[in-house]
Amino acid sequence: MNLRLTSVSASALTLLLVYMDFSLASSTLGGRPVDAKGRNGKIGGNNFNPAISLILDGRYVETNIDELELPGFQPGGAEAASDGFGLGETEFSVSANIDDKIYGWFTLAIEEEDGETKTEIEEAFIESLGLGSGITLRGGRWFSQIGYENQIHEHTLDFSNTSLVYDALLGGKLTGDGIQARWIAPTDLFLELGVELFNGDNFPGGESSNNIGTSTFFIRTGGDIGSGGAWRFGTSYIQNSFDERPNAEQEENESFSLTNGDADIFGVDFVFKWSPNGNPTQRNFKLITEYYRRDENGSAELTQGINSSTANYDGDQIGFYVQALYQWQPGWRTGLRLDRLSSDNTLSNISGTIADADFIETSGLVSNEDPQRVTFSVDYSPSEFSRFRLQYSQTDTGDIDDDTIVLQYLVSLGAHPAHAF
Amino acid sequence: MNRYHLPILSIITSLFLSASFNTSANIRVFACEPEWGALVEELAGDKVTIFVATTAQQDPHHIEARPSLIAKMRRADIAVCTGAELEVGWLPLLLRISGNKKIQANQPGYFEATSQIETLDKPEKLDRSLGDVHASGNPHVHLGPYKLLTIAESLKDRFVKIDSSQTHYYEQRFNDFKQRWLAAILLWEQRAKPIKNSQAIVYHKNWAYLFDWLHIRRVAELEPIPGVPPSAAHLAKLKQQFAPSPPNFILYGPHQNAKPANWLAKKIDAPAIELPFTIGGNKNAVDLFSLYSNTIDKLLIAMQ
Repeated sequence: MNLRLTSVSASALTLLLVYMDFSLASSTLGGRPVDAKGRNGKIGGNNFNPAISLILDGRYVETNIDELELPGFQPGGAEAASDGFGLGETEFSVSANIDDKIYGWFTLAIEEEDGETKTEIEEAFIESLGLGSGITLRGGRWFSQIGYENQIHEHTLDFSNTSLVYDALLGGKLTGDGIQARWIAPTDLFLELGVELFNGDNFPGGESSNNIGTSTFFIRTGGDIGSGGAWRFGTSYIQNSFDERPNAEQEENESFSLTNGDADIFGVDFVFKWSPNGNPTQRNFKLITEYYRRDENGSAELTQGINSSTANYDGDQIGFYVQALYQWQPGWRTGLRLDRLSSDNTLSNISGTIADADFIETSGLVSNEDPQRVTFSVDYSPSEFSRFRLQYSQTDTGDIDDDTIVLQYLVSLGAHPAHAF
Repeated sequence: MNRYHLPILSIITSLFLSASFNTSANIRVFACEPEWGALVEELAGDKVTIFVATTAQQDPHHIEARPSLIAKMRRADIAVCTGAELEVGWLPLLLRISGNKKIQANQPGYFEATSQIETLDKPEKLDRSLGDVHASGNPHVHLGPYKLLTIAESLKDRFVKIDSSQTHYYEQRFNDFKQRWLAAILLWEQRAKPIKNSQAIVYHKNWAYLFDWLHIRRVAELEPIPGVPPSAAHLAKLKQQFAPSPPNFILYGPHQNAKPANWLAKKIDAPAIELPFTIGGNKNAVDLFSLYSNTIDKLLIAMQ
């Protein structure tokens, strides 16, 4: 997770819970949807308003990877699971129709990091309801709706971690504060266009005097194949500009940054799902693949103690993953994911008091290695509210060659809203 | 703003403006389940274009808000659905992301069948250890013929509301349907006399309203708790419990796994029967009338 805007204590959480309690008590004022005859609608995920949900995630991890260093890619904040017993991300969500025109969503993630409990507002947005003409507007903070995996909450991922291409190019996830407009075309074939303007403070953006550091544009289409298949294809474009983008992980007495840079990302994503007659309860299959290319430039600055050097940086990187999941009997699924990254970066005009070779080595940006990972998983869901997963992955980044095993539970308490396709 | 943002915005704007809106005269109906598609067909036949979102082979609890459904909801003039949390996994999301004003929950273009009647099986306690229980009661209301008639009347009123120029037409269609339906109910009640007070094990509580009407007793379910697939342990327990005095039928629907029902049928000597459950559930169940007839026929044959 690359968003660390709030790092708070238990007291803020307590306040929040007290507030939630209050909202619950006053929910009759907010009102459930009422139909034209004045009867209460029963569509909602809960008899209460708002819907409140808590996701618990516990893990046992066997790994030798401390930090997710990917040669050829600037560290963007994506983290490796820590060794041993631990909690994953505990996610607290509240959502509701605020009135007849606005919907609201809030997600708080609570995580342990270096022995400290950190809370982070992952998402907090409002969105128009039934604006008409297929248009929906959104404002606040959310997981950008580019691509496929980006908007998926951690507990809904098909594996216990994000794909390598998201880790490398988006720091795990593209997220930010801003506004969004989406439009669905009035056609039988699904066609959606969306544009987002973000502050761009988060990787692959960075500190910037520009109020809109990141903008995205996506277009997707999709439909059915036969009685049991459904597909979606999307393309995304992300444009970032930043004054300074420091490494997410810095060594002591050392700092590395990219400055005055641009990062343009272009991607395609494809999803195909199939089940016999479109009934996924017995058996189902899904195939997901995403490909991204990032073209970025800027000036690279390294400071080591009293020494420092700069260089011109020009980065060209690609990454993709392909994953398939198959449920062979109710409750049981198995999955396979292949991840691969590749970079072709250049550092030129190196000048300063650090030796060129040291500069290149320390930057970690010039590499002939193509990091890759193979992940295999089996999961069991006793009900739609719980899942147990065993995952094995083999990571080879050139620097790291490691086998990781994750044993995980994920459960959902309360009323969790429906997930997107 | 930098050089990239303005072109993107202008592309979007021009797309918004150039969007061609289909001005077909027919009312576009998004029916969540086949039974509501069939009911709309009865009530509004040639004034509507009906899209049915699910089939009898699908479990309406487990549908995804897939792209084709979003596209259809985007253009719907009315959504006719079950409610009572049956579609909680996909319908609220479809409504929200459709960008369609007409079918939002507070609009006349949003119709929920279960909101028009009193539901059965309302749980006294809401606890997920009891399974996927519906706080608003059993949502499978379409197999209760009197409830269906009440729903039909409300739906007729709704069509009158959204398309008032055709009031006369909708009234006439409803009266015609009501007459045929009441006549059919009399006939079905006559024919179903032999199955009165029979006992059934069901896969899931899909036939609660049919049973309530025809006085059939549900003695057990194949699912250990609602929404959880039959387990070996639970089936073994049922076998032990019902082998000495088997029920008249073991019933399952076209979207449910036949194996557990067939297994238990062999062990306890009771017939396992696949009922159509909704329109399209078998080749004979093509509309509401044939759905009821076929369901009763299948039960009668099994009783012999």
